[in-house]
Amino acid sequence: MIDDRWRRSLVLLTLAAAALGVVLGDRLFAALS
Amino acid sequence: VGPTGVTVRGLLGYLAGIVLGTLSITLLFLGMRAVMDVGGACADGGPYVSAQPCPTGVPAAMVGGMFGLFASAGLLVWFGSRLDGAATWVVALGWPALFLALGFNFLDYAFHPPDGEATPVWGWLVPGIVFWLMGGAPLVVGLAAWREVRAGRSGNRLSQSVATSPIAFARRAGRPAPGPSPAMAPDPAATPIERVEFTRHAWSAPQPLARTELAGAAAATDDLVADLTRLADLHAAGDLTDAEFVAAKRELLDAAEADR
Repeated sequence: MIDDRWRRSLVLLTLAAAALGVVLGDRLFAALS
Repeated sequence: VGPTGVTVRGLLGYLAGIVLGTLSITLLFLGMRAVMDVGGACADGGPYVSAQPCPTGVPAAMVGGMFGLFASAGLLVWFGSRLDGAATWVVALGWPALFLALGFNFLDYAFHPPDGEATPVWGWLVPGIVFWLMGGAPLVVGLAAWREVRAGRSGNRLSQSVATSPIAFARRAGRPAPGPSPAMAPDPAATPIERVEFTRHAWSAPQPLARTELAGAAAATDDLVADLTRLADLHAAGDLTDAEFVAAKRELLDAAEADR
């Protein structure tokens, strides 16, 4: 069973990864156009 | 890292899925805006002369974004399921994220059209509303269900399993549960026949109303015969003493009489 602390870390990592994806997508689009 | 069974590879695969997912949605979002800037449609290639060529980079961004979304979903399900059952559900957020993001573009352009048209631009407003409904409705329903499950989690493991099972919904709707539930555990002090009755009622599925209306009398007789037979079997097997058998039989017959 996964404890709450680990789950909180996972949520934070997920949010960070989501933000990174948006930034990378923005850069990639700028590079393409 | 983390609890047993979680590997660095699994975690990185899952995070790569998240990055790829939001990256793809961002590409689609920006590509869509670029197309809307030139009027909402464009074409490239083929044997025709395109009246409106696509802005540079848009075809690559759109195609890449779409395939990226599928790849992201694959990564999330594959690696997320190994990390934590709940992580798999992140993939479900892709749908509202995509439709709310693209719907935002429609709504934005409906009220702030690039060519200074009269607002709202209905051609953008209607798809904007449709997209927000498509993205928002599952999100609202999903969040409500998630809160329900969380509320169940705050209790002990038993209530957790009940809160997430169809039993909980059936009971909340006021119908008998489709199986035995913790609240219906047989009384340890009950006589054997009471325990048998508990098992029978606990497992019986909710009966449609028509059954009692149309064939009530016949069904009642059948039930009585079945109950008496079961009782006789128990008696013959030695599970019931003579006194218990007589008392239980009397009770069944009295109940049947009262129902009539």
